[in-house]
Amino acid sequence: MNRRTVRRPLAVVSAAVVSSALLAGCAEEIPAPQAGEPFSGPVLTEEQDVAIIEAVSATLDKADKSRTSADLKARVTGPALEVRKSQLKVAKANDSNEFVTAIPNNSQQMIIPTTNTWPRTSFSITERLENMETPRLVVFEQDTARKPYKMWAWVQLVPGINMPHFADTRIGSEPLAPDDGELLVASPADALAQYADIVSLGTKKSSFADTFDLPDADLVARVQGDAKNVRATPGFDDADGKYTVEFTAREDDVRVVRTADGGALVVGVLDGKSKLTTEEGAEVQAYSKTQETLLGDADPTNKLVVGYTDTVALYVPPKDSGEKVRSLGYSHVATSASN
Amino acid sequence: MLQRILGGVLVLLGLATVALGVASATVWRATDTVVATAEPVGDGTMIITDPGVLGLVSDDVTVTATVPEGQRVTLAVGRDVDVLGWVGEDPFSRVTGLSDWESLRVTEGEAPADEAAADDEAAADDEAAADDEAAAEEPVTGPEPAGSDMWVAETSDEGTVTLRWSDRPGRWTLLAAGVGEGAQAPTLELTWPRAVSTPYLWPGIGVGAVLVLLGAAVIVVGGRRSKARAARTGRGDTTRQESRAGSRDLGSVSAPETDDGAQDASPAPFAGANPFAPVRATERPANTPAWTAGPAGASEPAEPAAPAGAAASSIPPAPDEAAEPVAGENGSGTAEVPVAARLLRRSRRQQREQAGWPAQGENAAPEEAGAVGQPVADVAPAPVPQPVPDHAAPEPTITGSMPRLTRRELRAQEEARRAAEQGGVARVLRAVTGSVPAVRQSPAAEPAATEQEGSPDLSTPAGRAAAWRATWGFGSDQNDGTTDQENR
Repeated sequence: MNRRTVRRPLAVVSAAVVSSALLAGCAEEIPAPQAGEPFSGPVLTEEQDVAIIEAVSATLDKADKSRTSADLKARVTGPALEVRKSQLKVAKANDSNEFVTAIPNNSQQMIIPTTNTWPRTSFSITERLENMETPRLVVFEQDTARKPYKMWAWVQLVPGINMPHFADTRIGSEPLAPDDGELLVASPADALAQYADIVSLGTKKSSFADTFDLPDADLVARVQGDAKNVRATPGFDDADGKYTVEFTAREDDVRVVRTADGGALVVGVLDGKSKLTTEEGAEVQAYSKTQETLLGDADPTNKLVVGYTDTVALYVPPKDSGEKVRSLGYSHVATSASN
Repeated sequence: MLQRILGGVLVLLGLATVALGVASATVWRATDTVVATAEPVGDGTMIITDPGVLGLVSDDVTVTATVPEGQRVTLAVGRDVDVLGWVGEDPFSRVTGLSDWESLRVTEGEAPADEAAADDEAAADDEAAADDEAAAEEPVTGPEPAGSDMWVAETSDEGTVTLRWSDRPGRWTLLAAGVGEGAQAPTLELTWPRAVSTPYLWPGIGVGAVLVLLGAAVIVVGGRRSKARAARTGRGDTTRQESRAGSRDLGSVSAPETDDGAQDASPAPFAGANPFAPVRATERPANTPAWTAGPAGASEPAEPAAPAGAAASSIPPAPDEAAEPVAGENGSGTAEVPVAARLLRRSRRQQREQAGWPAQGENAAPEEAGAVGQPVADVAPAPVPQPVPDHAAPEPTITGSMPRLTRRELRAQEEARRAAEQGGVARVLRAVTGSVPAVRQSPAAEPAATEQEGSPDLSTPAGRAAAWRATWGFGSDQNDGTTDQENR
């Protein structure tokens, strides 16, 4: 009896404890936010990049149709805007888009940067065009966070070149500063300047020619070929003709991204100028429809100065690779002419 | 008593636990969704969430942003650096987590220092973008985040806008912005589905059931214990009576010899019966209705019992040493034994009366008269009160006859009690109500026992004689009695 009476209150107490514990358990703890790992990958997904490419292409199409450069501004900037404006001007004057570079809206390779700051630069290599023109390497840039990505530049790849490999879009490629040549055979800015020197002087006169591995159909070949043609024009020597070309790299307009092998893809702008002078009284005709259009209805004189806004793409290999800097592609467009 | 109360408490506690368990899964069941709201603080037209807030409760979240009527609101999800970069220097509110289950904790956000200058400059420079999205950019105008290439999800509408987001790895941030002139930061409402478990349902029911069973067990055990106690005390009486019965028999045999030498010594059994009958006769006037009812008198348990007690007490204290204990037992027993036991004993007495007296008082007397002859008859009609006090003989006969009856009755009663105890419903009822079983059960079981024994026989003289014999333990019944005794 005694044991029973002792045990029963115990049971009552334990039951009360258990039930109160159960009720106390009802109050669920409020979760705290668990911030994930900081982003270190690409700033864009492939889908986003595709959307950007299509948006840019749509803008280009619209501007190509209206041939008004104002339509470009939403999605075109930098050197590309300059060039495109010029091309649209020529197109409008000639009522033909013959000399407007076509930029396909597809992409065979996207190169997406990894960065948490602005500006951000992404690259895209388009497919080969329907008319068998070589693929374009297009550069997009987001200047600030509140701005959209815009086409900053494009180049046409040189046929037969060996493109470097790039990191997968899910990994992203590291952007490099133009003067960051620590792991490269030359800093991107230097490589560009040297290339400009070669373009200006030709492979024979430039001292940097040895450090470059130049394809047969790059900008050097083009400019020097043109110069050769001009100089070889009948009567050129008789008229005391002088033809000089000068290309300089724009220091600010250089975009660099690291390739998969540790090298760098460099896209930069060369300001070019060709100057043709003859003896007094002679008349120099424009060489091309573009120049003619740019000249307008100015009367021909014995002088012709043509300005170019050229974009070039170079591959700067890593330091100890033993490779030379390669020229990958270029865009050679006359944007001004005067006499 | 105490056990019943405690058992009841346990049962109630168990029921309460079950109720709580059920309530936790029904009434108090947490909602399937967690809805938390955030009011913007400070200036600015934007409110952003810290990384991890979107996936705070579950991976799927529905975000609703509301601005006053007529204004435009945009929701966008992007990487935290992108959103912060987009917000730039502008003031904004920052959701840092849940402050409780219904509201979000909001603080005033501070702009990261690095990209401040460039942002402003670029914004001033670039009119190209301005004419599209923020054409009429004025100081109070809320910038429009919609259309940025950086967002992975966005939506924009007037008044209220809703965005669904499934969280993924990484620091994803929500940007909600009131857009346009005179814009203000929207009010955010985040809704997460929640897998609501009912962890207390079955434990509650289980624990409650255990408590209920425990309580029931306590009540039953308590009831049985008290009954057992009662039965023990009751049996103690009877066994004592019985054990003395032997000596009393001897005593009763010897008693007539010494005290009542005039009467025959040879019909010793009758000597006991002779004085007994008058006692019955004295009793009978007191409760005639009960006796006329005969065996049916079982329907009134209490009344017959009382006369029985009265009979016991009315028997004058016998000078005989054998008679003394009987009276003493009755007196002390009623005083000491608890209610249940007392009732039990009363019913036993009642049984005794019903089974024993009719067979003896009514029927046995004539038979005795027929069989034995005068001595019995002489005594029987005699005025009842007188003989008893006068002769010492009645006392030994009483004591002698009682054990005989008691043994038989005890057996029947014990069987009845066991049968009643094993009955499931009766047991449960007893456990729940705490009613005393002894009163109810014995009348139910008893008639059967008596019927088997002698009631059909009573109609014929032979049957009556058999009943009488059985009652008095003659013949084979006597053997039965001994075997019973052995069994017991």
